[in-house]
Amino acid sequence: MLGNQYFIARRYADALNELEKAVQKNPSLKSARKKLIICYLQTSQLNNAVNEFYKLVDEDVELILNTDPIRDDCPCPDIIHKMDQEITGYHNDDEIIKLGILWLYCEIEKSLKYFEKVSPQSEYYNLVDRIIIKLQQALKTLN
Amino acid sequence: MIHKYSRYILDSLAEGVYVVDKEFKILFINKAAEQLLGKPRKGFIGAVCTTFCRSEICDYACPISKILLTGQNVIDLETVYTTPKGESIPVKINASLLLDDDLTPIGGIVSFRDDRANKSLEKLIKSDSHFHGIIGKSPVMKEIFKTIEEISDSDASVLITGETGVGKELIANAIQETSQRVDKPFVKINCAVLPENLLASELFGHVKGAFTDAVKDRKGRFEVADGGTIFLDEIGEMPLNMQIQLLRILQEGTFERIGESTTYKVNVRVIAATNKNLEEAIKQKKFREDLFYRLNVIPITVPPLRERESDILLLTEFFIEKYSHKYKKSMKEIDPDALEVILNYDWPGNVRELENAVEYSFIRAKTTDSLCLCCLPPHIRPVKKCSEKLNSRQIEIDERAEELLTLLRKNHWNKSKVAKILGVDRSTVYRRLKSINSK
Repeated sequence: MLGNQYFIARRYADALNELEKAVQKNPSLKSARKKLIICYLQTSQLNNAVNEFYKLVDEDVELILNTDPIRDDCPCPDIIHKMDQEITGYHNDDEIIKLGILWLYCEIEKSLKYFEKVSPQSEYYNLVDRIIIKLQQALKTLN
Repeated sequence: MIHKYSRYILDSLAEGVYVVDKEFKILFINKAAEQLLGKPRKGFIGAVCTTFCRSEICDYACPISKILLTGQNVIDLETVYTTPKGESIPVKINASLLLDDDLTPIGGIVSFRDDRANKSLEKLIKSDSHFHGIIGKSPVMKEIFKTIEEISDSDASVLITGETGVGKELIANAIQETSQRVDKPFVKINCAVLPENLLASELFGHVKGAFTDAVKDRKGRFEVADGGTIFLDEIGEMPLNMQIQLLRILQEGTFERIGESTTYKVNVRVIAATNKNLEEAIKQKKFREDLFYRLNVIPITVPPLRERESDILLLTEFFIEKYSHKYKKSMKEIDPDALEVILNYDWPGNVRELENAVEYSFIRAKTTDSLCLCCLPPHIRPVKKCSEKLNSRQIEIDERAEELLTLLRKNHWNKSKVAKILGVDRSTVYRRLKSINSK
């Protein structure tokens, strides 16, 4: 419960500790895992973020797609906005993956666009490829 | 999620209540919370609580996370909630966790109440027109505040004089609060309410058997106040016999309990107050001159309210705030007609009478947005009626009457002087006065 509050307060490192403990105790806590992905991204743990993100997309992509940025007080739009301001011009693969993950909380089409930009040189290319397939399937269902 | 009857109960509360789940998403909002924050509750069910309350403490001192960390419920936490219009509402919050049968937290419940009335009173109390519970910004009151500060190091006796209701006891409180004896006993006694024999026993104490009802030894107020301060209200009513004993205490600090020969010594600072003219009482042999000079080391004269017009409005506003809170009526302004009456009335009962008049108005007020003329006590609004539709002739008559009364007040009811100012005979002034009185 404390992890959820830290997440609302944007205290990602504190939230990560609490949410990890909660998920370890009960791996079925999908809403906690959904927040954990953002905590990983915000504490520079891209590897953990991508893996957890893939698992959740595979299990229940709708949980992420149903995020309401306002009612859920989702931090993703703010993080994306900040990244857009800080990084002008070219994004590297890690940044593109981060944006792809974050955009899925807001808009699936934009998320797909970013994931499709990931170059084959990225260490996450194969995982991203599988994510793209899952998202394309989800998009079809939505349409 | 919330049982029907629980919902009815929660909706009947005057305090705002909302309930959140483990993810801090709102499960329930009661009617009062909806009304206090001006946010339709339907739109917020399922939303994260920060979207509903928008408080500065959400990020760093969330009351529910505080309980999770400390195990202690949150009581009267002060914060500010924001309405959709951007208005900041000071609130006091209580919070506790929702626990399941295994005592595992499954959410939290927050109740809050509007604290605007308290905040505005606090603001006034902290302002420079407020001195230890005394309201006043007139030069004469500021001078009294200055005197009280200046004598804070002194143990000398103080004699406070002034008409009834001017706040002599508040002055005594302020003297004690600013003195070095602030942490020592502060004993108050009204010399007018007890007969002479009881007053002696009350002030100096008695031993068992000293008189019929003296079933055990009893300390007097001077003994209780040892090291501190005693406030002798209505000192002008003290019998002459008692005055001798009081003089001895002031001179030597010694006394004997009734029925005992042992002499006690105490160190008590004396603050006395009276609405009597003690110099006149001395002439009439009703008050001892030597006692007067012993008491009158630091004289403080509190002027009547009618002599400090600038305080009338300030005090009226203060009492409106006070009673808005007490009677839960948000009376924000004073009707111009009512204000005129309030400012021009003589207030023979001074601040006490003004406070009573404001409270009376609150009790009578039908509308809650302003204090109107018809709500004022009848004896202070003898001329006009609130809803009266006056014709131009009547207005002219009333204006002339008002002008006459104002001039008379300003000139201490000297009718010859007022007649001269108006350029009329004294008899005309009398005639006009008679006509006002007949209405």
